[in-house]
Amino acid sequence: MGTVQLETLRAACQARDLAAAYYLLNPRVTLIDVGWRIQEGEITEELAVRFHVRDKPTGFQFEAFSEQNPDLVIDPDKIPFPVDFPQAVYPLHWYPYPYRAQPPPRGYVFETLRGGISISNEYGTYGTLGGIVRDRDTDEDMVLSNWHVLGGEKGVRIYQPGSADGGQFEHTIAFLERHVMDRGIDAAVAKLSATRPWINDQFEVAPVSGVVAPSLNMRVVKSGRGSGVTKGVIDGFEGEYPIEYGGLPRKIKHVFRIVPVTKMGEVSRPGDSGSWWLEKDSNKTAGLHFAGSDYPEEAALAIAMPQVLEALNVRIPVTA
Amino acid sequence: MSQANSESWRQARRARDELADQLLDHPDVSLIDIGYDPDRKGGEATERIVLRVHVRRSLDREALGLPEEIDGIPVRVVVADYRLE
Repeated sequence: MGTVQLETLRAACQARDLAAAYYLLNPRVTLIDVGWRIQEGEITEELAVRFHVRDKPTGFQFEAFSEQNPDLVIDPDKIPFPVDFPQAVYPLHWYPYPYRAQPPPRGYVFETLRGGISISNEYGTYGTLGGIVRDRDTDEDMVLSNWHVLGGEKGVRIYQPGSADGGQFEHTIAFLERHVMDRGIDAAVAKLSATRPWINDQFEVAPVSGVVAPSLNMRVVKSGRGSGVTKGVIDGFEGEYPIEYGGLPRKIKHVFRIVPVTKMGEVSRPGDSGSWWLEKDSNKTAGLHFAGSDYPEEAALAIAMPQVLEALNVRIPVTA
Repeated sequence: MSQANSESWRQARRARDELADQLLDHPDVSLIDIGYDPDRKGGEATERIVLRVHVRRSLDREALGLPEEIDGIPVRVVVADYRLE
């Protein structure tokens, strides 16, 4: 690569400023800079003011283009310095890998675990930590969320925050214990590793006061990683939801549907899976959120909590 | 249908099971449940309980072979596609 005299560089920069004044708003131009001229794909040692352009017609095509679009033609004679016309477009890179968008507050590390915050297995996703439950036989404390949030082999590491929120090995809070997908319930529990304390609380809502069976017209509220705190009303229950699992068509049972209280309201977003819907008046948990729809109407699906707890053989330690 | 354990609820569950056996494997069906009637009378929501077949896209009920009712319980179509979240 050649060297450049200071005077030459100064002249080039002045010419670049002039070029920008003339042509930076020309829609063909994607960049104007000072650099080495490029000839037949090779970088030369000749400094030039470079007009990077989207298109570069040549020969008779350039003549036709000039006739039809005289305002878009760049006249090199206006620039008192050698010029070059590399062809290049530079799209903005909004989220180049491995860049991650800043997570919302629920996606950060919580020193005290509770419901409503980001969690996942070690495989690169995030959902919601629904809440803390206790094994009915061993009294061990566990986190409860969806199978599709925690799923994997027994012993898989569970991160808080979830791995797509930046959770890594050192954020391990639990190890997958069991699931009940084979019983038509998208739920799993992971045994806490005692690395962090926990409290009975749903982030920005309230502690859970017990369990209740969902019923039509019940007003409910949830706290989730995706949409935060949302409210809704149950308009359908006793549902069955088709899903493929283990390569076979199966169904999720005991499903109820939640719709917004107001016409333009929102009930859920991706990332809410695993959150608990609580009866609004009593703060008893009615269901485990697992799916949603935003078109043509907003609605969320959850699995009745009494059946979830029974299948997993766990209870909610409401006094802890 | 005021009591969840009443005979009418058991009847509704049996009808739902019948619908699920027929339709849950259909690729356009996203949920089958028991709920409020989505058909509004004069723009007002009703509290009438119906069987609801949720489908991923607008479909004629004839395309699904849906009956008007099962055991006296109306069968309605709801367009909704639910994704895991």
